[in-house]
Amino acid sequence: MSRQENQSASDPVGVDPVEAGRRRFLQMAVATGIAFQLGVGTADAGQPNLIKQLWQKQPLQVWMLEAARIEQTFSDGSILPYHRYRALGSTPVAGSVPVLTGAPGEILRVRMRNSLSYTIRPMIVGGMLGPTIAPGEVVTLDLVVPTEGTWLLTDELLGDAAGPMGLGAVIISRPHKNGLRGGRRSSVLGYDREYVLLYVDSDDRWNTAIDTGLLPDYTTYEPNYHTVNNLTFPDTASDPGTLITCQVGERVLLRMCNLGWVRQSVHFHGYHVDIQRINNQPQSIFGPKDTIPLPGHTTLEALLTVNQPGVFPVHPHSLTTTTDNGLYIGGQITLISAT
Amino acid sequence: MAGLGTIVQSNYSVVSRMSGSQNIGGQPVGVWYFDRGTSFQGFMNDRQFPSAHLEIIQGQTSNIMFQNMSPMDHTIHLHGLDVDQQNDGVPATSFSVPRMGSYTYQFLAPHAGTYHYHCHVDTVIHYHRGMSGAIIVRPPDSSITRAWDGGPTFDEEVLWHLMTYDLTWADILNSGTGTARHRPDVFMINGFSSAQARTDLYSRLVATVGQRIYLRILNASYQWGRVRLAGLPFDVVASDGRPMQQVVSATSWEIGPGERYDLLLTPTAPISADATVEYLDDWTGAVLGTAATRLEIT
Repeated sequence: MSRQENQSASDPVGVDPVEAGRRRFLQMAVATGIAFQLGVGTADAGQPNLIKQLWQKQPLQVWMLEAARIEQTFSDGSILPYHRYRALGSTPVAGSVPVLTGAPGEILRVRMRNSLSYTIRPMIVGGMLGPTIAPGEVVTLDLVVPTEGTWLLTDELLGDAAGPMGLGAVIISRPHKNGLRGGRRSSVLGYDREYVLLYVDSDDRWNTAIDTGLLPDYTTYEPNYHTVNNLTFPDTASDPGTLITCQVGERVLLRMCNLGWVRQSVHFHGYHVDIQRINNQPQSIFGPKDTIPLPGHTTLEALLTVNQPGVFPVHPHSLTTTTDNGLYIGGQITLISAT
Repeated sequence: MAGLGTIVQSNYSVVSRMSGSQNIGGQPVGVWYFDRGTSFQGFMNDRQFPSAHLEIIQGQTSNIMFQNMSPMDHTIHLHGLDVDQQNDGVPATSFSVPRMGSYTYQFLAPHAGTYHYHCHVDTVIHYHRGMSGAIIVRPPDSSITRAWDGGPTFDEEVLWHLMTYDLTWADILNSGTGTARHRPDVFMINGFSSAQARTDLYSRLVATVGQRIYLRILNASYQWGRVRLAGLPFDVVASDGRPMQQVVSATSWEIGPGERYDLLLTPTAPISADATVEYLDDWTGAVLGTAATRLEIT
C-alpha cells in the first residue's frame, strides 16, 4: 500500500503519509511505553496486583468490559453473530463501542470478563500485548495510557478475524485539563467537541463460521455488512455518540478508527476537514479534504470546522458500504447535525 | 485540451436519462446518465457513460437547472462543493426530484479545483449505472491554463473519470442482495476499457517535451486506483479542490473512491508508452484489473 515509489527515505514529503504513519506508529508504540500490567487472573478474586509506584502516582479509573457473543439484526432481516467488547457499568460508549479515556501516562484499570468460548488476548494496535484470558475468566488489566491520540484495542489471538467480528474498543489519550478548546497541552488544535467513529466491515459467511468454531476461508472475504460504532444507518442518526451534533463556529475533533479490513475512503457532505494525525502521527501533506483515506487498522483524527448549519451525511464512497447486504440505505452512513 | 475549456459558465441545464446504451466490456449495456440538456450524450458530448462534465467559475453563483426526464426519482449531489443542505441532493436530508420534475441547484463555488456530482438516490446502483460526472471550478478569471489563483499553469489539460463495472449489475434497477458485493470485470478511464481508451482523444496524454500537462483525476469507481504515467515523475498539487499542503513528487499515486487529485506532469524527453490505472482490491490490495491509455510526448 504505497502511494508513490520514488521518494527519498529521508524525505518525509515523499513518504506515503498513511503508510509512514503506520510505521512510525509501530516504532513509537514500543518507545513510549504502551503497556499492560496484569492483575488477578481468576474470576472476581482478590485485589489487583498494581504496580505500587504507578498507583501512588496517578488516580485510577476503572472500566469494565466483557468479551461477549452478540447478535445484531440488520435492515434486510439478517441476524449476524458478533464477538464484541461489551461495556459494563458506567463504561462510556459510542454506539455500543467502549470508549476508554485517560491522560497520557495515567493508569487505566480495565476489568475484563471473557464470556466467549475461546481464549482471548487484548492488544493495542501498534502497541503491546495484554495477557491471555481464558473462557469464563475475569482479569484486571492495568493499562498505561499511550501518548496523546486515538488507539484501537482489539484481540491478538482472534487475529485477522477480530475486525470482522467487531472485537474492538477505542482508547482516547488526551490531557486531563484543557483537552478541549484551546488545549495548551494538546498537540491538536483546540476543539469544542469530539466524536469517535469506529468502522467495521463483516462478511456474514465469516462471522457465521467463526461463531461456530470453524476457520473461515481467508481468500473469500467479501464484506456485505458495514457498521459505524456497531450501528447502521438510520440507527447511527439517533445514537448520541454517533450523530455528530455541533454548532456553527465550533471545532469538532473526529476520532475515526477503522477496525475492519476494507481500505476506506470516507466522504463528508457539506464540509472539508483537516486531517490532523494518522495513527497518532501529525500529517502535513494534505490540505483540507472532503474525502479522506482510512485504511484498515488505522486511526485518523480530523478536525471539522463547522462553517454552516444543516444536516449532512458522512460515509465511505465505496458505496456497497452504505448498504446492508446490498440494500440501500444503511451501512456506514452517519450524519453531522449543525445548528 | 482534450475537450476541456470549451464551455466555462455558471448556468447549466442538466437532464437525467435512463435510456442510454454503451459498449462496456464487449457488450451493449443500458446506462443511466446526465447530459447538458439536449444532446443525448454524456461525457464530452461523445458518449453516454459516464455523465457530462461541467466547468463553472469560482466566486460566481452557479445554477444547475436539473430536469428529470426519466421514470425514477433522481438528485444531483454536488460532491465536495460544500453546498447547503437544501442543495446537497440527498433524499434523506433534503428531497429527490420526481420523474418529469425539475429543480435548480444553486450554490457558490468558493475554490477552484476538481469536483464531482452524482445522483444520491439508491446511490449504490444509480452511481454504478453512470449517473456521475466531474465538475471543474475555474479561477475567478475563468482561466483554462491556470489551476487556481496563484496556482500552477499548464499547456495541456486532461480529465480522467475512473470507473469500474460489474456486468452482473447491468440490469439491476434497485439495490438489494444483487448489489451487496461489487466484483468488477471491466476497468475503465472515461468510460472506455484499454482498447478504446488508448485511442480516445479525451483520455490520451499528448504534449511536446517541456510542456506541462495538468491531469485531473476523479475516482468514481468502488475500488482504489493506482495511477502511473509510464514511470515518469509527476507532482501531486491538489486534492479535493484544495492545494496540497506540500506538493509531493511521485511516480505512482493511489486514489480512493470519491477522491480527486490533480497531477502536474512536465516530461523532459520524448516517450510513447502506456499510462495506466490499476484498480485494487479493497482488502487485499491485489490488482483486479488495469485500464490504460497512451502517453505520447514528442
